[in-house]
Amino acid sequence: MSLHAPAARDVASACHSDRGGLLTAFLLFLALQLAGGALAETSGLPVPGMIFGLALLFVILVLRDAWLGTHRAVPSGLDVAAKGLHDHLGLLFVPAGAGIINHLGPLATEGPALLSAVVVSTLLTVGLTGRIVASLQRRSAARHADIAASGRL
Amino acid sequence: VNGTASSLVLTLGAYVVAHSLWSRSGRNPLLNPTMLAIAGVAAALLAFRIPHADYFTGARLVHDLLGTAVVALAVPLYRSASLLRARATVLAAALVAGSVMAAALGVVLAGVLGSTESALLSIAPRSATAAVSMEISARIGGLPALTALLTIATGITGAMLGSFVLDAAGVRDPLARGFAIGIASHGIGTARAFQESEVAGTAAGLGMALNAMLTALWVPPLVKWLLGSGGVAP
Repeated sequence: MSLHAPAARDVASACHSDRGGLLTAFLLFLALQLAGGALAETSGLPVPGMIFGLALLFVILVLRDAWLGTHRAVPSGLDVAAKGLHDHLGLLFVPAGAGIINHLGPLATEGPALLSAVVVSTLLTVGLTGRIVASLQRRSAARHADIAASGRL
Repeated sequence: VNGTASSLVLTLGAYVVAHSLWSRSGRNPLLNPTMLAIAGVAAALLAFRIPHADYFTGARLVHDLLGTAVVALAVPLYRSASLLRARATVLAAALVAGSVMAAALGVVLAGVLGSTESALLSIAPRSATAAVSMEISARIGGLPALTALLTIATGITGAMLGSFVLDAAGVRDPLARGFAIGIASHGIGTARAFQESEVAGTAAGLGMALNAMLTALWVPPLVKWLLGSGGVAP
């Protein structure tokens, strides 16, 4: 993706009048998506660029707080843009998901066994992982309560 | 029927209809809007004999926003960082357990049901988000296209039925619910978790991102070791 000079000027002037900060937010997300992709390529790690981009944005938010002396502050434009994307996250899977029509062949032969394995193992994983978090949390909460109680005594 | 506008009209149209069906059903997870919209688009492509590649060229914009949305996950993650850091040990333990269970249970069950070796290699990485699972599949000798399909099936399973399983297991804490759904069923599960609450969605996004990295780290060496020790040529 190459930004020609006039386009870059348009973006800059649009940002100038970008009161809600939405355009700036999207510009930042997209720039970090690009930077993350470049990092993934040069690092050779089998982690997709978007995850590097996520980490970069997190670091930027940490540094911004440190710079401004604020605590967990996020510019409202970033907040609104992120919420917009996450409210309809499900939409973004539709183009790739429709690719199912290309794979109906392998599904026909091995499908029933594989799909049963997927459904059962996924649901077991969800249920067991959820229980692990809930019970470990209860245990550590109980321990903290004990410590607090013994501290009072 | 070519072109960006027609692909986008089809994609957005299917999703808007699916989303309103879901809303009108009282947000019933069984009527998962992603699943309904995929079914709608797939049916239209088959009916009008449009190759998926042609449609996808036009719908690329929507697909690419997926990466943007993942980058944007840093925002809710940052806002709930204190909550997540306070539970870091619990979440780390659950992440390792969940990542291992997702891959191991899938491979064992498919093996018991008589799947071929290439199908077993294709199912192993399927709880990681599609970009990662396909990459791992190719690396370990699976079929990336089959992995893509199993990854989507995994996401839809977690999104449609995960809430019921967590209810039955008595898991009420939104952080625990979201994290479990994100680890097991990546982004499609995360989209569902955001429907439950922002905390659940954020925890799911964290689970998805961490499990994508963890799966990429441990599945390829383990499979290589298993195949090596089993005397099967990779």
